[in-house]
Amino acid sequence: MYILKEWKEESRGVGIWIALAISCVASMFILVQSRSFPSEQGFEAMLLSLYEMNLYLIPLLSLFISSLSIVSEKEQKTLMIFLTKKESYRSFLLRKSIAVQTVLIGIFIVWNFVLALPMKFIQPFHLKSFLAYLLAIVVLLFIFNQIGIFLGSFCKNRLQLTGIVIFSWFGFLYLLDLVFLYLLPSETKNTIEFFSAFYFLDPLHTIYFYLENALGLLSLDHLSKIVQQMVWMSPTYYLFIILLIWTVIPFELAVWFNRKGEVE
Amino acid sequence: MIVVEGLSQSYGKKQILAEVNLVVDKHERCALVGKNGAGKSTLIHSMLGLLPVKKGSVVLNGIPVRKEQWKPFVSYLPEKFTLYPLLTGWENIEFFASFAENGIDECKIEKTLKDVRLWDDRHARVKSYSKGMLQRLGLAIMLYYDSEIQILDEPTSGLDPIGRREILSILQTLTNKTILFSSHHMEEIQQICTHVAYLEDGFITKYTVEDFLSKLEEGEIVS
Repeated sequence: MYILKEWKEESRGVGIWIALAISCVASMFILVQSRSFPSEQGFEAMLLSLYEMNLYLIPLLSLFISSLSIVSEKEQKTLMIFLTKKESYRSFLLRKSIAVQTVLIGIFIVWNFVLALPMKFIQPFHLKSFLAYLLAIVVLLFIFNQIGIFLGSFCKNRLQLTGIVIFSWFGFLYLLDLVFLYLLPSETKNTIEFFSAFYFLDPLHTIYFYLENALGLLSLDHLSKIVQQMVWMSPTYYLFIILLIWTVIPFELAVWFNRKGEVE
Repeated sequence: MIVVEGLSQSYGKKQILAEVNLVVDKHERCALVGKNGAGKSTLIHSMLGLLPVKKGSVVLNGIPVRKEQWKPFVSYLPEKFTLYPLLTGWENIEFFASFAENGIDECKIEKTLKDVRLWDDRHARVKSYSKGMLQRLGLAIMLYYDSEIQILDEPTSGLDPIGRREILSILQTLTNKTILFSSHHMEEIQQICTHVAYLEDGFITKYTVEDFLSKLEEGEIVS
């Protein structure tokens, strides 16, 4: 019921369609531009360009759409009705997360399969590379939806939410990188593994690293010794570990914050 | 049915409820009255576990509110709810029906929507509903749950006299239910309730409606 309700709400609103329209226009530009790519690894370079575009778009859209869906339940007072019937906040958040993830990820998966049709006419299509790209998009959506759900649980109104979402997006995209760039020169052989753990906690770093490697655009065979020390696991393992971390921690924090405060 | 003992609540240093004691007996219709900001919603939210209760206890239908088992016996209609504006009336009630103990029963939904005179508007999106229609849809959800205890937070707030009369006529059909509802309107309290719980300065005093009205006329109570 939650998934069906979420689908009806999202599909009848404008947010998701504006997001999709922006993604559609930007993707078309990238496809047209990638006609000039060489045939060898041209398809993979095109997928990486598409991902780089989505890297800016998806976190912002996911954060806004998923957090608003939680804040709306508070503003509409529907959450209060649930909590006085069968639901606890944990069970509500779990069902809501499943519904939001299913609807948003479903829409983007369908859209990317539609996008695969013109791709076939531009570059030789490689299914394995396309599936790796799709996995990267799904993980990106999943993590930022989950962070959005946490922010929605934490915020009490839309105004507060808008500020926090923009700050979070800016933080992930720029501020964290500035912190890493500041710390990097002081890293040594002894501290690099510790640094790498924090570096790969940033989902944007890990997903990009996984995708570059999965598309064959970044080989792990010719890395410097210090970078080899930093990459002490397969990129796929990194991907699934951060997926787990960024699913469980925001969810548990959302439940914990709710327990501490009031539901209004 | 509803037993509140020694309930205290505060926001920061400001005490809202001070050792509140209240008993609402089975099938009693009790109005919760108090000035704006007196703490009516805080009391209701504490009673329903929406606010953590640090001091005092609440028992609903014999079950402490700390446990979840009271939920099948209680329905709550919040103040200023909007439900899901992009869904139709039918879709809204169908979704909320999925939280009922017996799940979704389309015949019961049909009867409930007819009872609140929204059957003809069931396929219209809720964002096109008037305030009165929205309140009636909220009541329809409560009627669908058919719980022993019904708690309503200002169900007639913001309605015109006709809308208010419609809501009151629906409430009057609720027989054999324990009802607690907050209100500012004496005429509707007279029509619906048997008792009044008057909340002032964090304390509650309970009266019969007749006693409350006479004290109000004498100026001993300011509502």
